[in-house]
Amino acid sequence: MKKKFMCSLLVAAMTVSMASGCGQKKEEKVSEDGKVHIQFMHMQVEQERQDVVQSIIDDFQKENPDIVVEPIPVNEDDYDAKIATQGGNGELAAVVEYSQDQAKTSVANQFTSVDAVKEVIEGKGLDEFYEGALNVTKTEDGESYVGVPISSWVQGIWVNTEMLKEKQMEVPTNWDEVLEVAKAFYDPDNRMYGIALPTSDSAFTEQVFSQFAISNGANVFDGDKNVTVNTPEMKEALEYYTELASYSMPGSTEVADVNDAFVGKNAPMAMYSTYILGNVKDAGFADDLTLVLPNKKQEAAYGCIIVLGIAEGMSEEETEAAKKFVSYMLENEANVKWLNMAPGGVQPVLKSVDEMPEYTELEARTAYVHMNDAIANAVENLQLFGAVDGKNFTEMGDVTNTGAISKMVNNAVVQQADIDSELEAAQSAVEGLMK
Amino acid sequence: MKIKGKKLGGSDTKFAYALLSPSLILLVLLIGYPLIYNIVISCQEVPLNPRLPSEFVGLQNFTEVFTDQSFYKSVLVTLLFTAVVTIISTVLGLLTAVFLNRSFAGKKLVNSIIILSYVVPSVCLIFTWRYMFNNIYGIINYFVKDVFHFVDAPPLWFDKPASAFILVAIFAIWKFFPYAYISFNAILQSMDNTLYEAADIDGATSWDKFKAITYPAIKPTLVTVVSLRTIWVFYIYTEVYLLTKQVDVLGVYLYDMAFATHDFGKAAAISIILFVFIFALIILIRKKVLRVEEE
Repeated sequence: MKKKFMCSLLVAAMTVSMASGCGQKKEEKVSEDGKVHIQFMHMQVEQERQDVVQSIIDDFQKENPDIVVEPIPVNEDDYDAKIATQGGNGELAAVVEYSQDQAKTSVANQFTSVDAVKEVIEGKGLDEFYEGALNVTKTEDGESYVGVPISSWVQGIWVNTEMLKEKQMEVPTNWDEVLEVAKAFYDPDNRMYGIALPTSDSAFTEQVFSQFAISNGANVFDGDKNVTVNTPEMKEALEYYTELASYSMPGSTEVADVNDAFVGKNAPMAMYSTYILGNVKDAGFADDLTLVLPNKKQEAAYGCIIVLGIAEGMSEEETEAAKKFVSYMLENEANVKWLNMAPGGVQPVLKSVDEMPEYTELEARTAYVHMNDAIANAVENLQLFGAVDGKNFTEMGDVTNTGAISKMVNNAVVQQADIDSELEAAQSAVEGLMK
Repeated sequence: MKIKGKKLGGSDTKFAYALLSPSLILLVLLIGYPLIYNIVISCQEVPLNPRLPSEFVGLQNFTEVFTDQSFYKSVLVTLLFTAVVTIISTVLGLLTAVFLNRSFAGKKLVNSIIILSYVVPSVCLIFTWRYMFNNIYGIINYFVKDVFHFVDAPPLWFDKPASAFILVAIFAIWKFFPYAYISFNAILQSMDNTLYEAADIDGATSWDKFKAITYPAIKPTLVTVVSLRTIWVFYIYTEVYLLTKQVDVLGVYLYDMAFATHDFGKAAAISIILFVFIFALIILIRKKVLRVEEE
C-alpha cells in the first residue's frame, strides 16, 4: 500500500510538472530602468565582428542614454528559420539585418514596417544613397523600401589585365569583346579557359546570367508583372551565355570552380562578386585586377544590398528607438565601422562613405583601392531580375528558390537542350508560380 | 501469471495503466497533435506569418501534386533508388559481417575503417566526392583522361542523369552499409560456435551453414535493418541534393515544390502522401518476410 502511495505521488508530481511546463509564460517587457529596450538581430557571429557591432551599439547608447540595444547574433544557416519563428510569434527583434531577398519575404509576410523604413531613408536623404541600391530595395508598389540599405556586394566580370597584356589584348567592354578574349585564351588540354562562368543549377548561375540578360534589355517580368522569360532578348542572352560558356570549364560549375579557376590563373576572366578580392590579394595579383560589367544595350551589375528592417507591430517608443538606431547606422562613422568588418567583400551604399579616409585607407583595403570607382559604378548600375520600372516583385524570390531560370541555363549550356524549348519551359514554370 | 504469489490483473492492471497514463498522454500529444495539425494544414494555404489567416483550399494541394508529371517521375526514381541502395547496402553489410566473423590480427582496425563512412558527417564525404569527380581538378578524371587516356574529354559525372544516379547510389551504399554490418556483426558475435562445429561434422557446406544457422538467427535483425533503411533512403535529401541536381528523388521534389516557396500547405499534403506510401511499403515488406518465415 505504501509503495502504491509513493508511486501515485511520483506520477502526480510528474503530471503537475509536465502541465506547468506546457503553460505559457507571458514575459513582461516593461523595463525597470525606465529605458526603451530593443533588440538587433544580425548575422555577424564571429567574435571580432560581434565586438565591432557592440562598439557601434556602445557609441549609439552614449548618444541615446534612454535606449538600450541588445545584439542577437544568429548563424546564417539558422537565420531564415529564426525570422519565420520569431516573426510568427510576434517576437521578432526590433531591428533585423536582412539580405534583400530575406527582406522581401519579410515585407510580404508583414514582419517589417515599411513606413518606418521609408522615414529613415528619407530622413537620410535619397541622394545620399547610390541609385542602384535604392532601386533594388523598393517594395512591390514602388512606394517604399523593404529595408534600409547599409552595405552591399556587387558582381561583375573580373579581368586579369596582366594575362591580357601577355596576349596583347585590351580589357573587353562589351559582349563581343568578352567573347573574343574568351576564344583567344581557351586551351582546355592545358587547363586554360577563356572565362570562368557558373553553369550549375544554382542561384549563382541565375545571378550571373541575369547580368547578361538585363544588359540586353531582358527581365523575368515586365512593369505589369507579366512573365517575360520567353522573349527575343532573353533568347539572345541565353544563346550568348551558351556560346560564352563553351569557353569556360566543362560541366556544371559553381562558386568554388569559378573562384579556383580565376585565382589559379586558369582563366583571365571570371564572373564573381567582390568577395573574390581577398583571394586575389592573397594570390598576389590585386594590382592586375579590373572590373567590367556585361554590356550590350546597357551595363548591368548584379549585387546584394544588405538592409536593416524595422519590425512591424511594436510600441511607438520601440519603433522610435529602432528608427533612431537604424538612422545611426547610416552615419558615416558607424557605417564605416560596419563596412570595415569585411574589407573588400562588402561595399558602401552611401556615396559619402566612399570618400572617407577611414574607409579608403584601411590597410586591408589598400591593395585594391584602385578598384573603388569601378565598384562604385557597379553599385550605381545594380539591376536585378524582378526589379522593373521602380517596382520590386516579391515573387522573384520564389522564382529563384525553385530554380526555374538556373535550370533553363544549366539545361541549355550543360545538357545542350534546345534553347527554344527551355525558354518555353521556364516561361511556364514562372507562370505556374504566379497562379 | 503470478508475481511473488500475487495475480497480476484486476486492480493492478488498472493501477499500471494509471501510472503509465502521463507518458501515454504525452506520447499522444507529441505524435497525435502534429499528425492531425499536418492533415489540417494540408487543406489550407498557409502564410509564413501565423498571425495572418490561413485560407481553406480543400483538396487543391493534393490534386496539384497528383496532376504533376514530375511527382510520378520522382516516385519512380525514388523507388528504384531505395531498392538499389537498400538491397545492396544490406547484402554488402551482411557479407562483410559474415566474412569478418572470425579472429584475425588487426580486426579492430578493419572494423574502424569499415564504419568510418558511417560516422563521418555526410557533408564532409559529399564534398570529398564532389572534388574526386570534379570535371577540372578531380582525381578520377585525372586517371581516366590524363593517365590512362580512356577518354578524350573528361566525363561529366554528376551532370548526366544515368551516371549521376549510379554515383549517388554508390555513395549512399558506401555511406550506409556499415549500419547493416554493425547490426549483423552484433548478432553473429553472440552466436554459439558449436552450432557451426556441429554442422562441419555433418559435412555442411558454407551455404548450408548460412541457410540453416546464420539466416534464422539474423532474420529479425534483417527485417529491422531493411525496414529502417527503406524509410531512411526513401526520404533521402541531403546526400542527393548536395551531390547532383540530376537525380530527382522525392525529398528533392518536396523541397523544390513546397519548401523553396514556403508553401507549407503543399508540403503537408506531400508529406501525407509519402507517409501513406511508405507505411504501405513497410507493411508489405514485413508481410512478405513473415510469410516466407511461416513457409
